[in-house]
Amino acid sequence: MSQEPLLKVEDLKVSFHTYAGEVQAVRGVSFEVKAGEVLAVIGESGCGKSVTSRAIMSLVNAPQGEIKKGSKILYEGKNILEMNKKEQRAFRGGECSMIFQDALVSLNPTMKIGKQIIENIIQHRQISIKEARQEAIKLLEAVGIPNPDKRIDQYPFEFSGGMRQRAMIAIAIACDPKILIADEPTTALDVTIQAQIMELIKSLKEKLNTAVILITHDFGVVAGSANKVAVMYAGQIVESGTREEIFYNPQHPYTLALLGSVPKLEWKNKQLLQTIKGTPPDLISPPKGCAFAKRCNYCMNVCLEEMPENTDFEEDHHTRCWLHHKEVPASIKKMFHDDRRIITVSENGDAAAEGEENE
Amino acid sequence: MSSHDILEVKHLKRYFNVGKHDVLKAVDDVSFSIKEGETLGLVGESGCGKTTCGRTVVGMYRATEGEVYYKGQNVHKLKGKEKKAFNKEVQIIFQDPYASLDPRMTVAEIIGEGIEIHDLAKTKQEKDEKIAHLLELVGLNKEHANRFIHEFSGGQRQRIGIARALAVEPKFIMCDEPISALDVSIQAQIANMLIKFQQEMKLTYLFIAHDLAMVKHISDRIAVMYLGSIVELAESETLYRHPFHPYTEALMSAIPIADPKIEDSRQRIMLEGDVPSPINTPPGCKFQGRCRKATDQCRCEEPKLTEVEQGHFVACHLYNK
Repeated sequence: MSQEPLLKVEDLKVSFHTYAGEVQAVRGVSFEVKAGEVLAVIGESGCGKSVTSRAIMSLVNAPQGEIKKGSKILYEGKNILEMNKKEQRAFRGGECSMIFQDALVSLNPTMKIGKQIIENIIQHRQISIKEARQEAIKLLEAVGIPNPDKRIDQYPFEFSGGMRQRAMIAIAIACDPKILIADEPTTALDVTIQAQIMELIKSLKEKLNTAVILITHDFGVVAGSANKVAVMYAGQIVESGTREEIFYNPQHPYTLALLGSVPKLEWKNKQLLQTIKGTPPDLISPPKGCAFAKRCNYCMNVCLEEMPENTDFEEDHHTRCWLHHKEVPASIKKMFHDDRRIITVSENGDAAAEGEENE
Repeated sequence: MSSHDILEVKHLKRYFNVGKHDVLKAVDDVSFSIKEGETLGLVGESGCGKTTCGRTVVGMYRATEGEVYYKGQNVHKLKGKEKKAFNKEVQIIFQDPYASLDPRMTVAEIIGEGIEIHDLAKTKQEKDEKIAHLLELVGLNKEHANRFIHEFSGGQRQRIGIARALAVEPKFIMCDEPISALDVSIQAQIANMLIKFQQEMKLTYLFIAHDLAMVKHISDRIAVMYLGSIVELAESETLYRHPFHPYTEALMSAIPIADPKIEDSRQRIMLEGDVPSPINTPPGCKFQGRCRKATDQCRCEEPKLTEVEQGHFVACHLYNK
């Protein structure tokens, strides 16, 4: 794909001021998304993935939240952070909209579902309330809610979890946004409903050619829908690349460890899972070296002292890790490659067997 | 009941009255047994009654009908000394480590409470040693003993919850979604710990969860619940390779697999709609409204759980011939 990126984030830094000190939630994140593409941002809780998405939507509030100088979020070449309030409002909801994790908290419990959708349509388009209502019914139908003409006059508490999430999606796509940010859209849902919602997001993406930023901590969801993946840890993107590269050729020990900690169906029962020792670092005083060093199996002295640089591999595959420096002893590199083979090897071998099972 | 079964559940029912005339059948005629040293996984969508089932089995809820036998004794008829002995042998690990630990007690008090009640330590020193040992066992320091719960992260709290359950040297633990509230990397740590303790202390688990990949990983056998009934029960490997019940099939195909090649090639069986309300369910098979293979028989007659292959039970008219 040679088209221009729709959204480009450059060196985004976000901090929150708390009583304990300044929490550096996002520490220099850069990525880009093209139209019709799904970028998955994956990481543990507290790694800054939601804060990144909120910064794009200009939802980081002063005075506690602060987007640092030098950060750039470019939408079609224009920096969102320098827009005035009016332009921002047109962008948010009109050009770019968001699906939140918890639909019960994000929807207004005292407003009918229909009114919440109509509100968004009228805000961004010059049409009458009557037309907007018709539009809202069409949207509810498009996201797969049965009897939309009745449902439109119901309140969120009358909807089930999956239907609430669908209503949220209806609000989000009301103005045909160019970018859709889905912040853990299925985490609170059951697997069967999760599959329905992911299918819906995929089909909408294809129909409207939207760019989707999918924020999640579930590698299964990523495998099913993403084109590109960015792995975040402690406020930084430690590895990014195409879906295939990340799953079959991970270059960062954190990506590898995350892949290893998810049980695979073809694994033997009760075999011990790979674990990541310890817990993520405190972002009030982030370590001066690599943030993952203390939990890493391949940690060297340099990792504790200096921040690793970006190493580039083929096809937009980047990683921040000292392991790929040319002076690293071959023995440590071999250790990493051996471990990687154990975790990723079954993927090709067992693919045939899995195929049979699903017939 | 074979001699190896530690727990046997016979036609257990647990109904709740909602409103004047409505009855919510949270658990509706469930039977299964668990062998000593085994892990039975209980899976299903939210609202299918798996937690209620687990809680009734360990005696937290009274049974509306049916019996639960633990080592041959009826759990719901225990009194006095026997009840106390049962409470010592059967422990629970709860889902939410934020809500299930008392914020006003120190870690030592939380873990020590059971030790005191059941007289497992003669002196205070012995008790303290026991607590320190338990903390070490679950990967915490003995310095943590004098802290309060709010000082810990979610993963650490769950470790404290596990230490509390292990404190009274139980034989049987009901794990009610012990890892679903945790981060991926922490989930693996806790799962490993549960597997290790089972092997070392010969524990028996009833493992309730909705994360199917994790359940498969931990369990020997798995029971699938839908609207208060068990629809399928089999060895975990068999259940994943060859599910019989249409609901299990759909459930298995909905599990996201962390492998792009498989995800691209697989065909999903999509279930339409949501789980119907368990209040005043219509006659017939409970799944028929969402089932793609439903026939007239399914609409009027409720299928019974029958053994189709050895150790593989299914409640579906398609297989009950």
